[in-house]
Amino acid sequence: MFDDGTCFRISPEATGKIIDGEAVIIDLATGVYYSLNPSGSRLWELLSAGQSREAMAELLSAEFGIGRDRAEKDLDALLIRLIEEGLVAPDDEAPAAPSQVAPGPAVEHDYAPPELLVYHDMADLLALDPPVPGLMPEAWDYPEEPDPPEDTST
Amino acid sequence: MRILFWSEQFWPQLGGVQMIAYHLLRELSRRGHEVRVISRRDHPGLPRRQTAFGIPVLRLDHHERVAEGDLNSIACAAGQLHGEVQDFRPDLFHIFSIGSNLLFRERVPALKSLPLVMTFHGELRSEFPPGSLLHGAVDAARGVSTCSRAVLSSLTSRFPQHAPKLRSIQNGIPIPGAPPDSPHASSTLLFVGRLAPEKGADLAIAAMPVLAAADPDLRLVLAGDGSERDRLQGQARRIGVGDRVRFLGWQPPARIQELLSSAAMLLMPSRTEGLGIAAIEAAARCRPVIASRAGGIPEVVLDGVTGLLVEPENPRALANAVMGLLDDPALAARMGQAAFDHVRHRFSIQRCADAYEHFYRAAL
Repeated sequence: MFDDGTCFRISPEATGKIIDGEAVIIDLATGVYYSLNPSGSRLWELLSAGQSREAMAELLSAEFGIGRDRAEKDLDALLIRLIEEGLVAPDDEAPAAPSQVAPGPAVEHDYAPPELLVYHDMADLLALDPPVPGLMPEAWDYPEEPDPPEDTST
Repeated sequence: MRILFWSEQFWPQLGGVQMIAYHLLRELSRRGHEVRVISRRDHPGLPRRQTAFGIPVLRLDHHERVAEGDLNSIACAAGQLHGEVQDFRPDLFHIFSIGSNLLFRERVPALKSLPLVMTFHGELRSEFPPGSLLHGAVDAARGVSTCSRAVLSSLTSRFPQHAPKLRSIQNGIPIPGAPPDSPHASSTLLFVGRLAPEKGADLAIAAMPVLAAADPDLRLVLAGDGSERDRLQGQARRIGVGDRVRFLGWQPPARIQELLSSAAMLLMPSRTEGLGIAAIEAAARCRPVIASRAGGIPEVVLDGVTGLLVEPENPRALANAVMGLLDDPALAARMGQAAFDHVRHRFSIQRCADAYEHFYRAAL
């Protein structure tokens, strides 16, 4: 699918951060939020660091203890999804960063293939309960009433 | 029970959801439950941490930061939420109003691992496809409540697979054991609520020329504020009732009670409405309500018994209903008394808190 030496650039509109061990990404142009599971989050880190496809596949294989063929297949599937969403694009001219391959396998998670979750509803959620501009609200209390009635309806 | 309660807007901000949260949490505290509130810091003057009527509140800037895509601040808020859960160790997480908080529910493992219940205060008008944050939260929730049967019906159509865990818990407020005051002759019509299109204040203003012609003393008082205020003031001037419509802005709850006591009736010409907390408050002060047949309003306002219902978007029908009651004070008084009796039985805070306690227990 992609050449081993291919590097990728992250869209200037996309920003991502690892929060609680998993990547949260936002496309600032569209307001769409994304998240990646642990293996996908690791690949996002490597993409951000300018690693080539070959280096990423090697790292995925080494760190999660999976075969190289499977690592390449899963990596390509994620790259396709990220490209479809406009979050990354192949960049044939970018020089690959030095490989970050770890000295030995260090499986931190049970492996699940990289998965990109897409949350298209953030704009709708933000619109559900918009802030009401106005003066600083003042503390209030509800007027105390006499003892409440017994509920006689049941 | 220890309840982590997330309400996007919360005391001292004013509004129906904030009012219900205030009454519910005070009542749950009285019953011995421990509650902590997460809320939004919509105004820079609001403290990040505060104890409100005995309940600790943590306010986050998350709404703005999520809208901006400021992931550093989002990560910081996630860290605070993690710390809050570790410190409080809640039995239950109640998302009382939804918004960008669903991102944190999804992404902060300490929150995601808690038993979740959610409350909806209105119908959803956006699509929210499967895979959305909203679907994820509803799928994960052990119980989902709605503020009215109308909202329940709408939500059940959207999530038929979750029908068994959906239930209506109607809002409640403190209601005195006896009518606090009786209706009296008044030329004031009261509107209480946000000045936003869905609340229909423009329809109440549009009814005023006909009403003013019939009763030269009649006044419309609007308590509330919002994005439509300038437009509404312009509308009142344009149709020649600028001197008969008063805009009071937001008023504290105690002042709303006084305004209700001095009004002939409450107008609620909403285009959509979850339940209509102002209608409950009016009824608790023996005031009839003239409202549109929208959302959950017919659950509070019984047409011809506790007030009158008109079709939405119809200022002429609204005006006719108002004139009908102004012309028959005895009928208005009977409706006011019936309204009090209705809400006393159906919309007391005790009944509401009983239902939430049952809802919580079922989720554990």
